Amino acid sequence: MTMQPLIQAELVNKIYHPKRPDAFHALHDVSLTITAQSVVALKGPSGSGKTSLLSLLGGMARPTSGRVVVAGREISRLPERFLTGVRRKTFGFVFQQLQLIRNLPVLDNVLLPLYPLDLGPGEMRLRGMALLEQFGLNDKASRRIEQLSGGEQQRVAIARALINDPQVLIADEPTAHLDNRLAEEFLEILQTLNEQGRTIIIATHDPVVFNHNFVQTVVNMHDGKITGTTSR
Amino acid sequence: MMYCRMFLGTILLLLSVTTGIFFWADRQVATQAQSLTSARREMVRQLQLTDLAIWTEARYSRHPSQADLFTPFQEFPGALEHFPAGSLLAPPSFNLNTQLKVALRAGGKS
Amino acid sequence: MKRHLKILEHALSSLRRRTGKSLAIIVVYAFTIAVLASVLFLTHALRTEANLLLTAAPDLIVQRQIAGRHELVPYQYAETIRQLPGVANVQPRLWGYYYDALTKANYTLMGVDQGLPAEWPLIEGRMPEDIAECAVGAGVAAVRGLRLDDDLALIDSSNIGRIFTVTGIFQPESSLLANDLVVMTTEELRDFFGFADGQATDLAVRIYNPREIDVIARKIKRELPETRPITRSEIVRTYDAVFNWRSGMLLTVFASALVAFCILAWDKATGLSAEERREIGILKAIGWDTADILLLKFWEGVAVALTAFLLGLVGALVHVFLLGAPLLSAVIKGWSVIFPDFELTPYLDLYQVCILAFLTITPYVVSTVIPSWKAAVTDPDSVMRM
Repeated sequence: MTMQPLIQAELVNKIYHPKRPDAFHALHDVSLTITAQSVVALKGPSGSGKTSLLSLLGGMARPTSGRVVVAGREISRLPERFLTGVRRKTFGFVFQQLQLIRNLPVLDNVLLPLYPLDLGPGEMRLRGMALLEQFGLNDKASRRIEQLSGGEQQRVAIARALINDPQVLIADEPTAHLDNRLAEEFLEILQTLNEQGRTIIIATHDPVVFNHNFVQTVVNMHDGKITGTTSR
Repeated sequence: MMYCRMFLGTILLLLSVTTGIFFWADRQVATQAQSLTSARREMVRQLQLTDLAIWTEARYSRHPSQADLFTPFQEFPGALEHFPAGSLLAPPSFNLNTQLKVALRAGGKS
Repeated sequence: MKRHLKILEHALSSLRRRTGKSLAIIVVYAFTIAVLASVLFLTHALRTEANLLLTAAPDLIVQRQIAGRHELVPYQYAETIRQLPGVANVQPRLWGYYYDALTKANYTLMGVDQGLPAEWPLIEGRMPEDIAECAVGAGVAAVRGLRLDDDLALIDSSNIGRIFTVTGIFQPESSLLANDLVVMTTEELRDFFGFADGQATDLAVRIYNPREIDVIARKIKRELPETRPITRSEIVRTYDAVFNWRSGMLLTVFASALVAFCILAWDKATGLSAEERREIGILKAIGWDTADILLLKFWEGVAVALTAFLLGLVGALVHVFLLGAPLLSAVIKGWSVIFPDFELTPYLDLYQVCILAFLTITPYVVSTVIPSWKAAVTDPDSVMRM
């Protein structure tokens, strides 16, 4: 069965600080299609452009040239307000350093993406607690982030990424600071999410990830270009 | 929404205290107007007073008719003095040890 | 509305996470506002009190000047002024200064005619009716240790001591008007100072239509070139000017404190700490847009500024009207050898309070929001690289 393309990048280029002497050409004419419910790993060494491509695919940055289309709608030229809306509804992000807010309780961290929306506090709380229960963290809802272990913090980061029920989960080097056991645990969670129907995109240079059997497509990157694609 | 409630509660409390003080002030003014202010104004009218007894050493603020239009060390003629009877420091309060009491002798001479 | 409340909640939670800094700013800001507000309230109350009391004063005082110096005015001048259209009444006033070397105080000796009520609500005892009688102000009584029926000895213009029996003492409530007064009969005063017959210190003029005061003053000046008419509004303006000058002096000093505070707030906001920048970046990355971030900073600013303003306002109201402004009254009221002890009536101007609110809350909010703009428009992509 041919799956519909969910995200398409067409000849995208990304140059950082174009008018400055330290201008950096991160992506060169990259084209990529990601289908719905697929699991894609962007593989490559540091500086290969994985994070830049993730940013563009997830609507976090705009390409210098080229197009990014999400669910049939071009997002690369959308005004910021609409782009934020698309990003909020479609994507959930798990950052490399997790980027949780210190000194804030677990539940509040998870609910942060919902604050700008017109939802009542009661409804927000219900959603948040349901997710925390799913990840076995409901008894830690009022603890501060610093009081949790590394693995627990990672689950909080995933819960925050899922609070808006996004179609796509994007993870940037998620296993970079994890030991093998925690890395395996993390990948199992991603697998479960994929089985629930979500699309997963991971940027990584960790073989534990791109060799995992649930990863369907591995995209090789080097120096801002896609050098090859392997599909299982 | 715990912090919201605490903050709004604090603001409401402060606003209530402020409003309470405003109402109290209003009542004080009304009470004063009824009794004291009208008696004082009557006194002003009867005695033909023209100013307040605040700075009795100052030439122009106890009785402006006594004020010269020019005076040494003034900035320019007609300028008001900056320090009617000094400004920041009061003189040491005097303690009269000597009191003058006069007794009339017979014949009406003191 | 829900969105605002939730963002306010997060703003308050951010402030809570920086408790020490937030509290320090609120306390310092509240203190600055309390001082500024105290000066404004005190000055306004004093000015209003002065204005209200003096609305019953004569519309015009006419004095005579020879070679630029004050001179006694003949009674005929009163006749001339009475003839002018618009003049209701002209009353010669007989009064003078008396310097008491014993107490180093100035008294105002005033002559009153018969026909005044013998007893007044504001006098303990009665007004003088006969020679060798006087009524004194509370300040004079205090400084000379006088009670009713005591004797007051004063030295007249011939250097002879004269004894006056104190028949009345003005109540402390009238101190603002009568603190330094020694009231006696006109005949007694004329004899005491050696005024010639038919001469008065000045003339008190009342006018039918208050709007004609300046016109009539000019007519008096034209008819009697040696005279100097002084209007009531000029006298009231004098008090306004003195109080304004005194409060202006204080406000200038403290306004510089307020400006310094705003600069500090601006500096604090522009130098967003790495932690604050990181937090803004995370919020942008997880779905907050620029408007949400600016709203967050706006509510942070409002929370601090509004709390500080209300605390400062309450502090000022309590300090001025309930405690009598002990910290400022010496500077605003000034001093005198005999100084009236008076309680301030709490006249409040709501307009002044609103202006104060605007001038204290707005700069702080602006100095919080504007410097955050740069961080707020950061590409969320930068978070990926943190």
